[in-house]
Amino acid sequence: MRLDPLQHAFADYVLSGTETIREWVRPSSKADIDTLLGVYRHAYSARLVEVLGNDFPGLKALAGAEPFDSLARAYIAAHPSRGFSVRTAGRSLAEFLARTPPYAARPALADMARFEWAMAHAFDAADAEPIRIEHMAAVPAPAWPSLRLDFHPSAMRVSLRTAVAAAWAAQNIGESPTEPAQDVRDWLLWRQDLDVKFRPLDLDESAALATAMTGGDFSALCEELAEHGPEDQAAYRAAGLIRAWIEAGLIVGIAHEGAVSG
Amino acid sequence: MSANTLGFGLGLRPVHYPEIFDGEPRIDWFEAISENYMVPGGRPLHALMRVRDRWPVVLHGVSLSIGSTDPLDPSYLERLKALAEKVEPAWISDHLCWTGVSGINMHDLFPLPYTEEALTHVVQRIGQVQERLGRRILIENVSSYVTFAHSAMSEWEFLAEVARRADCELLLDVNNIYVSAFNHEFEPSAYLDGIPAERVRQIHLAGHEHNGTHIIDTHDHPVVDDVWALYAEAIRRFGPVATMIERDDHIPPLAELESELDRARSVAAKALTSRRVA
Repeated sequence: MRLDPLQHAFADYVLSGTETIREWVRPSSKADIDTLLGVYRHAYSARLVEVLGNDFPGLKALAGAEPFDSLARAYIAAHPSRGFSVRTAGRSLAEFLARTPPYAARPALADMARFEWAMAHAFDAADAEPIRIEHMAAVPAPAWPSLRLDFHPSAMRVSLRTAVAAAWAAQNIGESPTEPAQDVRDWLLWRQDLDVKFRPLDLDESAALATAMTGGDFSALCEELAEHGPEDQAAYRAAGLIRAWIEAGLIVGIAHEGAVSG
Repeated sequence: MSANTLGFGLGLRPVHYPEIFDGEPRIDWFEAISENYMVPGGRPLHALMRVRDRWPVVLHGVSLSIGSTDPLDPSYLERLKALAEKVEPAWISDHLCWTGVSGINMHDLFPLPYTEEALTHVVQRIGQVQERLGRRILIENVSSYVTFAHSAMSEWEFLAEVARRADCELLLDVNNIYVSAFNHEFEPSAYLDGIPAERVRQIHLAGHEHNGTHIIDTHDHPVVDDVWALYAEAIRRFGPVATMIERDDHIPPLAELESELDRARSVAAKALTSRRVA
């Protein structure tokens, strides 16, 4: 059986330049073996660097084109692609940047990668039909404490330490981003119709979202909000947030005691 | 082209969506890269279904890795099948190659050694894929830059035997034949002679980059004259076969590719006339 050792030798060469593959290759009268094998080795990293640059344009703008190239190569070497689609090649990029020197010293890099990965998630997450505000009118008052919300599959809360959203927006209109300032804040990213949206979250909304997105009911939401503001206003605040979430197309179903709809 | 082929198509590229949706392009069908649409939802699938409403679509995969010694990925096949059920493609194709090993996908089309061992391996796996998808697939020849010392047959003998034993169909990439013929010093017409005509369901055309000592399959240039000539030869042998142009880099406006497709129409028409005369 020679197919398996051949493929391992070939892959080792493409990934790390190991030369055992040379024994397997038939010499060519036109070009030397290293040139020909080099086509594969060069194409491998060039392709993935290009894909990462397309998928993380904010990170590329922030890092600068040449530093991005070496950053991407270091990442690919540490995290070769394991998915069937190049779309998932950047899955571990934020984590890599957060813990690998010298990138870890510049938190905006990992933040930008995290932000852009969440955008990519929102872009092609599963479809679901948002409910309309009229659905809420049908919920009987006694059922409200048990009300639970189903969020659109694209919705994602992301905690960032720097103001990368502004830097992302700058590069998106062709401007050079400035170094993002420190700005510890949670962000919500989701898809409305076919467009990816993002907005910053106040502390109480972020806590309420965390509760609601993990299946907490309306009374749990109120308890959470009471931690962040006047207790007697918590139910109003919760109802107001739910209305805003519905209007943003974030809610695709509701359930409460006695009924399930959406 | 006769009624039993799709005619002349293009590779579907998102940069062309506005021209495709807002215009009346002279394109008979589109080929979509399967993996780009094997996503849960959102704009890619929405766009593909809009295309599907107006044109026939075929699915062309790049990650089946039919020749890898890694096991076939059942979740990949599951998602490809789900996409096919949604899109109802005229056919599904992928490449005679391997794309990685040990769970790593290198997102390239690596060549196989042309041996009995590789043949048995590929045939058995095409059988598994066809059974899982419930349909025959098309297998495409790739461009290559190296060959292996222990290969025991030519690429065309290998490809023809794969098709016969696995009972699959063929996507013949005429540019890839040209590229590999230059790189490995064989006669491209010998390749065409070795291909069973009745199994050729689709033809790919593309441009390449000539480096003097070797040619690289880059899909970033127009189709060159020598490849047009080889295409004419292929049509004379195989008859009217659905033909499409792939462009993956330096992608020009759609109108430019429509003109290139017109050239394919004209080359094929002439080739078919001379075929009837002969």
